[in-house]
Amino acid sequence: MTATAIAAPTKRAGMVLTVWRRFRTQKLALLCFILIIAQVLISVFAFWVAPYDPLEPHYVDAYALPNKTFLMGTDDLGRDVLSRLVYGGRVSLSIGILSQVAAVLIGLPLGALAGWLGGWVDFVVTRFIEILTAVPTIFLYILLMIALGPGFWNLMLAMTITGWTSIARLVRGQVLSLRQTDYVRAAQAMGGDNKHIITTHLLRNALTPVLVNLTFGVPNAMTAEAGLSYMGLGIAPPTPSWGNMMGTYQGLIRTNWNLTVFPALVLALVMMTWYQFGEGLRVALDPSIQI
Amino acid sequence: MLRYILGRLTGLIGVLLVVSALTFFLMHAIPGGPYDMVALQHAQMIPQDLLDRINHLNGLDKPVWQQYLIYLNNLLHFDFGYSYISSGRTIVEIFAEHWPYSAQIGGLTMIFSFAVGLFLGILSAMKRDTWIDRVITVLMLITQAMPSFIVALFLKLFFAVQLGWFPTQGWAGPNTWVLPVLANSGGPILTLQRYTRGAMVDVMGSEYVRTARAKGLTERRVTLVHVFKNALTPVVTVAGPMTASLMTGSFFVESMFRIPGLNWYLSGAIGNRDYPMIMASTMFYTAIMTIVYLVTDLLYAMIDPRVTYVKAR
Repeated sequence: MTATAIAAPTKRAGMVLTVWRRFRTQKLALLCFILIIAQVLISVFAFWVAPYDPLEPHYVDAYALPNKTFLMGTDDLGRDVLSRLVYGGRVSLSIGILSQVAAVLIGLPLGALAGWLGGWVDFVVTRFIEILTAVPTIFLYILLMIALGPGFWNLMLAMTITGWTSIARLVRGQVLSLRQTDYVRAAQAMGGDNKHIITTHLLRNALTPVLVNLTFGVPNAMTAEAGLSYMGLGIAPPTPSWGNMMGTYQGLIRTNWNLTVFPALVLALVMMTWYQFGEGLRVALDPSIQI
Repeated sequence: MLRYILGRLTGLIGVLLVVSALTFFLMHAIPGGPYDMVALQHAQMIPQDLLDRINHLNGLDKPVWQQYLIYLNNLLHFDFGYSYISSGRTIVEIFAEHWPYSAQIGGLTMIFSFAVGLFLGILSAMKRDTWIDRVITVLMLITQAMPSFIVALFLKLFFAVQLGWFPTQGWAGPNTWVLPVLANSGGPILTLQRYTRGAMVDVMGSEYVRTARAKGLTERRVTLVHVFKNALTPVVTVAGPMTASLMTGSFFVESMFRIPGLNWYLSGAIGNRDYPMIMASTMFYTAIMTIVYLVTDLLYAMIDPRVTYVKAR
C-alpha cells in the first residue's frame, strides 16, 4: 500500500507531462488552446473588456452599423453589439462547461456503479439511458424547455437531464472491460473493497475517453444553447446570448447585417477552437497514435 | 433470429410505455391548460363554466392517472385522439398532412449527404495526405463549426437575399428545396465523410488488401470492392441513427424556411399544451428511433457475416 501511495503522484505528474509534450507538437490544437484560455479570460473579465454596459441603451445611436464608437454597431435600442457579444460569450461558456461538470457528476458514478456492480443496478441504469436516448435529444430539449420556461438554470437542468447518459454509457463500457483485467482481479484478491477499486483502479483508467468526451461536449452544449435561445426557448432577452441575438434580429438581416452575422461568426469560431482542442487532446491522450 | 427480433420488438413496447407515461405526467405537471393560450391569443377570457364543459368533454377533469389509463386504452384501438387546438382534426390527419414535408426534407437530405459524404470520404482516403485530402479536411472543419441554423442564415442571406436565385422560404418545387436541404446536410455529410475516411484508411492497411493488389487488380477495383465494402460496417453504425433523426425532420430548418413540417407544427403544439399531439409525436419519434436501431443491428449481420445475435450452443 505504501509503495503505491508513493509511486502514484510521480506517475501522474509524468502522465500529464507526456500528454502535454504530445499536445504541444500539434500547432493548430495549441493555437486553439490559447484561444480557449483567451475566451475564458474575456468571459471572466467581461465587465472590463466590454466597452459598454451590454444592457445600456444609446437611443440616439440605435441601428448604427459598425463605426469607430461602436466597433460592431448597435441594435434597435442602441445597445453595443460588441459588449453584448462579450457578455453572451460568458453565458455560452458557463453553459458549455457547467453542463459538462453536471454530466460528469451524475454520469461518472452511475456508469461506474452499473459496470462494476452489475445486476439490478446495471439493469436500472441501462434502462434509464435507453429511455432517454430513445427520444431525439433536440425534441427532449424543446419539451423540457417549454415545460420549465426559458432561463439559465432551466437550460442547465435540461442539459443535465439529457447530457449524463453518454458519459455514463462510456464509463460503464470502460469499467466492464477493465474489470476483467489482471490488476483489478489482483486488487480484488488482495481484499480491496468496491470503493477502493472503483476510485483508484477503474476510474483512473477510464479517465482518458471521459476527458475527450467532455471537451467535445462543451461545444455541443454551446450549440444547443445557441439553438434553443435562437428559437426563444433558452436564454431570454434582455440577457445577451449569441443564440437569442441571432434569433431576435434575423428579420433585419438585409439592412442591419451586423446584428446577426457577428454572433454567428463568433459562435462558429469558438466552436471550431473547442473541436480542434478536443481533437488535439484525443490524439495526445491516445498512445497508439504516432506524432 | 426471429426470436431475437421479437425480443427487441417487445422491448420497444416497454420503452414506449415508459416514455409515454413520463411525457404524460410531465405535460400535466406543467402549469397551464390547453385552452389558456387560445384565450390569450384572442384576448378574451373563456367563461369558467364553458371551460369546465370543454374540459369535461375532453376528460380533463378526471384524475391524471385515470386520463392516462383511458389514453392507453384508446391507443390499443389505434385511436390517437383529436387535437385540442385545431378543433375537429384527428392526430392521424395532422400527421398525414405535415409529416410528408419533414420526410421529404429528410429523404432529400439523405440522398444528397450520402452522395457527397461517401464521395468525399472515399476521395480523401484514396488521396490521403495530399492537398486534396487537406482541402476536404479544412472544409469539414468549417462545416463542423457551423450548426444548421447558422448555415441556413448565411445561405438565405447570400443565395436568396443577395443573389435572388432561390426563394427565402416555403416548400413548393425543386427551386425551394435547394437551400433547406443544403442547410440540413452539413452535419450528415461531416459524419459520413469522417467515418468513411477513417474506416477506409483502417481497412487499407489490412493483408487482404495487399493480397488483392498483389493479384494485380486495378487500384480502382481494390478501393471500391475490397476496401469500401469492408469499410461499410462503421458507416452503417452512424447511418442508422442519422436516418432516424433526418426522417423526423429538423426543428431549425423547418422554422427558418417556414416549411409546414411536423416539427414546425409541433413547436406550436407544445406551447399550446396540445396534449394528444405532444403524446403522439413523442411516441412517434421514439418508435422510429428504436426501430431504426433494430434495423441497424440487423444490417450489421447482413454486411458482416461474423456478427450474429443468436447465441451458439
